[in-house]
Amino acid sequence: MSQLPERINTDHENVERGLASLVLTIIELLRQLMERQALRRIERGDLADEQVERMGRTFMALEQRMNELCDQFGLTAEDLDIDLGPLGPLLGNDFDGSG
Amino acid sequence: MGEQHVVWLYAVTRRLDVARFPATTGVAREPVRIVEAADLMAVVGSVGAGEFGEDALRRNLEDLAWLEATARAHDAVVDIVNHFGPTVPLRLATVYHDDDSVRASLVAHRGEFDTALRRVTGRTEWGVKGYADPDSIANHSVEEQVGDVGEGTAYLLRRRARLSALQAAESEAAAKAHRIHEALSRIAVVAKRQPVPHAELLHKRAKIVLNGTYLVDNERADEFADTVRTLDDQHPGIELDLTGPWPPYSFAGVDQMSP
Amino acid sequence: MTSSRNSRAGLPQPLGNSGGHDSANLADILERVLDKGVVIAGDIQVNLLDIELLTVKLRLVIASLEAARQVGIDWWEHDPWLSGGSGKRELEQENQRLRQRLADLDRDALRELDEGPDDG
Repeated sequence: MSQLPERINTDHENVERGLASLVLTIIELLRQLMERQALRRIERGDLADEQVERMGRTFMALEQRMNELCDQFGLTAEDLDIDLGPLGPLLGNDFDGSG
Repeated sequence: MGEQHVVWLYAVTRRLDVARFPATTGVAREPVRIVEAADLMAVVGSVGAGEFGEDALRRNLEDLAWLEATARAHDAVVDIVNHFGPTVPLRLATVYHDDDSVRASLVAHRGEFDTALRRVTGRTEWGVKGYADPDSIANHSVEEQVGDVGEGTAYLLRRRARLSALQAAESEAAAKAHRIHEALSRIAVVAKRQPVPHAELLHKRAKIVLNGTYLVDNERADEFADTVRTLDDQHPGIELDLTGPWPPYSFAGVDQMSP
Repeated sequence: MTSSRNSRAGLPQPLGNSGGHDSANLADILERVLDKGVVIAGDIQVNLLDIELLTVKLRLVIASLEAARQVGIDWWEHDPWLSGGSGKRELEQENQRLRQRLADLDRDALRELDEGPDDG
């Protein structure tokens, strides 16, 4: 019969925090992708001023909410990242939590 | 009956001035010794099977503290051997049952060792890492002219300015890294760009844009070091880190043949 | 510029002081002794790639990216926003390509953001 390896940390809070950081990392990635997509639309100039303004406010609110969630789980911008080895960090220094 | 031993292989060289070779200990603090065959000398140590046998190795290699101590000890032995003449470093955890097996392996791989030894004779491996200075991003930041617009629009324009600044900074850093590698490759006999090492193992958090390793003729070692310094000065925003001299880890493999 | 290990300029010397590499970065040593060095089969076969620590901590992400790339999921290599370091022209071309590829997704996303059926 084999024992559980020691390195698996079953500490409940750690697991929760780890999950939270993973989920928030993915949300942050999606936020960034959508934001970039939005910026391209703006550059293409096919959006009305009012649409741009509304999108901007949506992204602002999203960023604010992200910051709140990070605070709640005691996570910093640096925690929200995955190292992609030779490709560098998934989010990099783009996400600075301050906009 | 005492503990079972296995034989850990550090490096292969052609001639070692045994009289001058200092008493050296290896990964198990065991005295390092020589096994000869096929006109080659293998630098080995007898290590306990309890720590370095197959199952134990599998387990221990997952322990970062053990791995670090072992890697440093292995490298230390290889480094000393390398000071005495052309050396082919073996990868970590090349282990045999006994000296006869080591001899058999020397004979079997004689051709490969000869080729590798010829390639590294009179040459030294140097490492150069380039770190992009995060502050250089600031130099690219242009204040977006925000006219009379709503706060949502202003926010998006600020984000756009920041992203273009990042993009410009990254492109510039990559271009600089490319130029630096090209310049160093002209001095080196063989040059390689390696994947960036895992961030957790690095002490710096700066972004690595160059991880190059270079096999350099010993007569050109000074020129190489000077060139690294010059390139460092010529490329503000990139900090170059020269490491070495290394035993020719990156260039001794037969699969890495290069003209 | 910084330099480490035996930072004397020049040649490997016979034993200045033995083991002068304590200062060397662990990453520098590991990438050499694990990834490099001549690989010959010893009697004891330990495939370093099978070692969980190395696989999980050092290679998992890379490996899964490799696997993804093999099945053609490689957008991060071509999207200049994500990979960085691409020329202006590539950026334009990439924009063009992405615009087409993401047109549908785009429309849906904007519909959500607009909170209405009007997607322009």
